[in-house]
Amino acid sequence: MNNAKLRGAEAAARLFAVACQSSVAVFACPVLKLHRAIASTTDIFETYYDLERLKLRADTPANEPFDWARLRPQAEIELLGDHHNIDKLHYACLSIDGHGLESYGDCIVQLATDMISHRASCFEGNTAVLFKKNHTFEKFLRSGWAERHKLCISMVEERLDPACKESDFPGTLIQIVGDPVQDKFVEVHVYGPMTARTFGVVRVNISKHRKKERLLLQAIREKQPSLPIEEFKS
Amino acid sequence: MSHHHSPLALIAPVDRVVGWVTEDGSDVALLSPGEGNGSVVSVGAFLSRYPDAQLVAGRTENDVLEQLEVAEENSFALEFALLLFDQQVGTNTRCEISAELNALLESQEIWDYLLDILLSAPLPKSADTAGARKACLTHQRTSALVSSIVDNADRVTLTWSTWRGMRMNLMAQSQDYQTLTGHLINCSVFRKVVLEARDKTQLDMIRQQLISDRHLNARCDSQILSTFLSAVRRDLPLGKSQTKLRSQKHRDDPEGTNNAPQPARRNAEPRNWGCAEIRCPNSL
Repeated sequence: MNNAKLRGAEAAARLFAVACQSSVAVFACPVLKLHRAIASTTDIFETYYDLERLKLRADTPANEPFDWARLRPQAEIELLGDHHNIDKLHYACLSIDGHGLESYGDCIVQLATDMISHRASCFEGNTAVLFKKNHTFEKFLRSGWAERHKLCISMVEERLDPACKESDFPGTLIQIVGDPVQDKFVEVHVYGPMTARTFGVVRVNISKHRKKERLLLQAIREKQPSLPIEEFKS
Repeated sequence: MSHHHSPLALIAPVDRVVGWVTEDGSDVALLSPGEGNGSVVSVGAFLSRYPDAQLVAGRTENDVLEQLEVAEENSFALEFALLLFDQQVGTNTRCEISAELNALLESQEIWDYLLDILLSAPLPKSADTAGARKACLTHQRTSALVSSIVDNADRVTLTWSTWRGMRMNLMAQSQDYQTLTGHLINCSVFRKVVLEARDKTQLDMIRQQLISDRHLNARCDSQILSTFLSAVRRDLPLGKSQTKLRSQKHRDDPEGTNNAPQPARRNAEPRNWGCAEIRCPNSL
């Protein structure tokens, strides 16, 4: 907080920290992925999703055998300690107003805090991109879920000025400049199942929906009538 | 773009993500609008985040984007086919889904893609087969697809059980059972056995075809394939055994109460113990 204090932005920094204390985890994805997340826990879908994955991995171009088993994601190993639980890790980003990285998909899924707080941690930026560039996470900040506001304030302190208003905070926490190395956001890592029970609310931008997406959304509503789904157009 | 890339790309249709594999094969330079053009992640990180990733060959960006579109269509088609059997989804929605799937099934590739996967493992007991048939009554291609799955359920179960029965042996030989399963699905082995092997002669012909298939042979030891097909030949009620299968069915359900309502069949000729070989009815 010292940096902000020196620039007379201490009040703004305090307000920002308070806003971040109630921040939520969101991820953006296409409707197809949202449906798979919801359907994958039912036995009709689960087996065939697995078989599709095996088929796709087998379908490599001629003379290009790809050793999928050998290709271990180093960034995840660095985060988790080994490769055994890699497929149990899910990614989201921290948001003050429930909006996220919209360019990743038309569905913004806000995760239910009470379902993830005990199994989520936060990281300063996009781990995959940053690890590729730096080969280590040593100089980057991380925190547990309960301390996420401290991570947020450490990340944005330099960018806060005395004139900062509460309405500026969401855009301060997530800054997309088009270069993933430079993009600023807090990546949330959620360990364990990511199912409909984990979803708090889903906001769907239906502006570009074709009939395919509309039908999947309709099926999601019927399969999960208690899941709040809000539609909007951009 | 600034990175030297190989003529290979990784596509992940469910997330709509695509990227060039770099020349040394260790990284992926992303092309997807959502991820920012040109950012680089390791191949491992890509595979971990996008489990449906597929390696494709392509020369230009348009090439790989087109392949992403095709793969996305395939995934939508699989979603729709499975939703037909989902009793949590209402009849009206399933009818609309059936119509959409009917349009997708105009493509023989999508037809084959679906049956490669759906005939590789039996439907679970919770699958609403009667509801699926009802939803697609007026959509002939979808109806033919559902019939292929439901009418061949016994054969799928037997073929799948035979393959699963080999799992322990394969593991003992340090063979990767899952990878081999992927190759068998991808080379349409299950689909061919289920749909085309009506009698021992046909199965022997398929066996010959598969064993001499160079693409399959490069990925699956011909001895494993041969052992599997011999076991199928032993286990599947081929030829004379059709009577046996019928009487077994009669014993299990003497009143025929488990029979789902049957839609009008496209092919009226008598079938061999329910082995319904149906090609994608493109002429419809």
